[in-house]
Amino acid sequence: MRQSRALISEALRNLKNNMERTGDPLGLKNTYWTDWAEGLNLPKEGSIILFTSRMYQMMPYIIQTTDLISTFEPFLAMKGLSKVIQIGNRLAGEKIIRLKARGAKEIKEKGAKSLKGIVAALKASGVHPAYLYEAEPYSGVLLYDLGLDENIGCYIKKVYELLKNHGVEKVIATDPHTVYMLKVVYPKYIEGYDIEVKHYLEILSDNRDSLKRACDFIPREQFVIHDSCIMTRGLGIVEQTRDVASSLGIALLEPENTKLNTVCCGGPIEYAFADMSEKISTIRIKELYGVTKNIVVNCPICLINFSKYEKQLGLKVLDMGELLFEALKNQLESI
Amino acid sequence: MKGADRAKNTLLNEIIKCRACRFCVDTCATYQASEGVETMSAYGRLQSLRYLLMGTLDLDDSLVYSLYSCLQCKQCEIVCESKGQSLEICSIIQLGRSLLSQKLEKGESDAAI
Amino acid sequence: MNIVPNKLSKNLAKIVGKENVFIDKPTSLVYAKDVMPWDVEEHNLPYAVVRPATSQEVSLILKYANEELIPIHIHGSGTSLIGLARPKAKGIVLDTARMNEIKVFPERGYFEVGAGLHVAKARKALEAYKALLPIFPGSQLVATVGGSVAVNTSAHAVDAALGKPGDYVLGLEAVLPTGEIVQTGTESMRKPAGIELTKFLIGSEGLLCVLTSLRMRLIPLPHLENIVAFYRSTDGIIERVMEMYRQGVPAPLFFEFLDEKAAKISFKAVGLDAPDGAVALMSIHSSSKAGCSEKARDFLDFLKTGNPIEARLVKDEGEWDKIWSSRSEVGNYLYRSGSTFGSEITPRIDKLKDTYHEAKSIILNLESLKNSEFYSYGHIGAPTIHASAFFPTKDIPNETKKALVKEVREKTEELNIKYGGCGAEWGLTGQRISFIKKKYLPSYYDLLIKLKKALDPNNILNRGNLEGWM
Repeated sequence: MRQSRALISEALRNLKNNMERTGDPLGLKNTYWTDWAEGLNLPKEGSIILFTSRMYQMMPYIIQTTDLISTFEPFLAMKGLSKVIQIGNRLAGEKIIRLKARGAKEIKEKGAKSLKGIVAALKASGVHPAYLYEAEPYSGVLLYDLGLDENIGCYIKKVYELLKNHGVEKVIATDPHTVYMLKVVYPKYIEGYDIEVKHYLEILSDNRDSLKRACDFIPREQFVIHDSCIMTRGLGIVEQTRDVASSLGIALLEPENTKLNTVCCGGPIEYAFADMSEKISTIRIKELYGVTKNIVVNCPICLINFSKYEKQLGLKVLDMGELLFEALKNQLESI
Repeated sequence: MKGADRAKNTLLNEIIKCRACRFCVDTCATYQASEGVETMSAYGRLQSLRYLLMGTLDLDDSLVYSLYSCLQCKQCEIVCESKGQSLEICSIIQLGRSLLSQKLEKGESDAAI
Repeated sequence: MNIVPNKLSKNLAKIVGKENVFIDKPTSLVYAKDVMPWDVEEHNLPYAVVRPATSQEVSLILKYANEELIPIHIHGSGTSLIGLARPKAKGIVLDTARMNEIKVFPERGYFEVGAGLHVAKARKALEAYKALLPIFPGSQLVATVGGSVAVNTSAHAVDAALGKPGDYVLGLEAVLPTGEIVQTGTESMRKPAGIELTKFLIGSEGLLCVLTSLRMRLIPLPHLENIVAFYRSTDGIIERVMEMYRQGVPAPLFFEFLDEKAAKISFKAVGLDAPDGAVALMSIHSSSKAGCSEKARDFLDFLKTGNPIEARLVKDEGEWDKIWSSRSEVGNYLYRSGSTFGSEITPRIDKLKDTYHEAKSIILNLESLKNSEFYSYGHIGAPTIHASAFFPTKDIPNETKKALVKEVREKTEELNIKYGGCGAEWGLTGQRISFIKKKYLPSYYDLLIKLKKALDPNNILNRGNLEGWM
């Protein structure tokens, strides 16, 4: 609670500056969000696109920057506060962050796997989306959530124009926050908004027979599902996760507080209130591993938040995308 | 600033609908995580926002913590819809943030809205 | 009394740890606000909110409060419908939420529960032992066990069927206003007879002690069968209630009603078709399944002799959930389209019909604000009528809201006096003090004052409630 005003003010300034400078919430200038798609040769133009909004790809950087903030927290009470925060800001926005930490490298691989798995599954379902590669924008969801409204209106219009200029009619998003942003929030700012927005699980669920046929997978473990709160309560996407898992031969176990009653992983406030976020995650993790140690999530924020506990508690945290990757990896050569 | 006034009025008209039945309190993940501090709940956040807009409270650390620690996870909206006043709590908090973030980002020392 | 918040905070932090003391204004406001419709005022805002975890911590807090002469207001859930929860004098709010453990001892026949545990959570914990929590406030999602016993509210339960929560308390742990910790009662299955202290503290509305732990009897979960009945008017339902007592028909565990207007609004709110007429809902209980079915059949026959439009068992759980919600949340559903001002009228049973019609007349002829609408609902079989004034607007000035609350309260309490009743759900202090003074001899209120002074000479606990301040 202490210094919350300074903390949030700084976070808002960083976000705004990063977006204005680079169009990226982390302020990074290199196109870190395309690495995963190397070698996949996805078409760069098309009326249907895969839209990652860089969410999976941001994960390794988020681990590093929030670790930095937590390191700085004891210093926040000291005088010269703003200088310390500035240092943190510079570190967060600059290329000097290398993916040194083993944790960050593993997370990067998980993210890449998830996205590859999603692409493979879509193709097995007969859907071949394009991917905008370097041109892919960020959806702006953080700007919206944190209330940087002055900026969000302009930003949304820019993204919409970009998508229209690329001939996009349908967006298949890879995470629920992006779907929510493009499906529920964008229309509030754009009259005559005409882009169809789906979450990839909706597409896969509709085509689950094709998916089932394409799978080459005998799951040995049991998995408990942790639903993303926005997925279920924000978008009403509940059974699709179960359907898709079932196509892979997995009967997902339900924890206490599931589906529309799922409990938040704590991720959305980790950037500022790490202690509170950790307490929330701990409560949920206990509920989940009470069922089994193998946890499946369907959101990159939940993925990064729970992955922190893997080593501590001997958990395995997998994204639905990673399960799809495992089930279809023999197919990946043919992509 | 006309936009800010409109937002303020919308917020006041929406939050007055909260009856303070407190059904949302127990459902909030931040309430559970804080071992039951009522400020960490939809009820707590809505009332804090209301009294901020009415001038009784200031935009201090405690208020910022309250409003920006909301996970926007919509857990509270479920019980409010079925048993309460059916408020769009997350949208109200997001609108509240949009009113306040401009001030916070600019680092304005005047806390009054 | 010159309070320096930082000094207060430091002293309280020595008792409970600094993370369990709050002196910021937002927290003060959130804990001060209750469900009364007028805004929180400066004199309601505490200097600090303190959150003890044990009786020992409560004891130290109360001792400190007596030394410094700082009032303490006890906070369970803040859901009192006669304004007991809002502090009336600036002081410290004592939040009981951290005293929330529940331990079940099946071999001893009882469970022990912290006063701050929410009723719904306590109920869930006992279900695992197939035991009944005999406490049914409508606010159970947030109401506390401590608050329910401190007010001793039967709420949804029909007293003739279940009695009151206090009946099931075998003993308790509490802290007296001057800081002494007392343990009362027994660990045996037989409650003490005679002048035993438990009886003085149950229902004491936070005036004579801070309840910290309750020991309550384990009762097996009964079988339930649910009935819904539609009558052309509320009168039809009232006649059945009066007949039920007159004929000695065993009372259901729950016996609720919605009048014709309220039923239409609340049924629609839960996704059911608006019904014809007034609605009665009942839960028949029995320790045996066969007994329950027989009781339910008999009660259905009894209802049918009153010529309902329809009366039937509700077997589908989903349907019953909706029907029950339509009654238990009707207050909230009505509030969605305006402002409501309620009452709790519990007359002598043979006067139920007269009471109802006089209540209606009172509500339709208020002076503080014209053009009120009348809605009624409640635990009619208990009996309780919640006669409500409704205005289709939120735009009522604070002073008018206060005047309305006062007028509805005082005029409907006249009915309790006229027809031999006394509130059974919401407690007797706060907004009910004028009722006590009118209903009973002056010596009654004087006795309460003497009792209060004897245990709380410095008037530390819940100051203002016994005085009847708003």
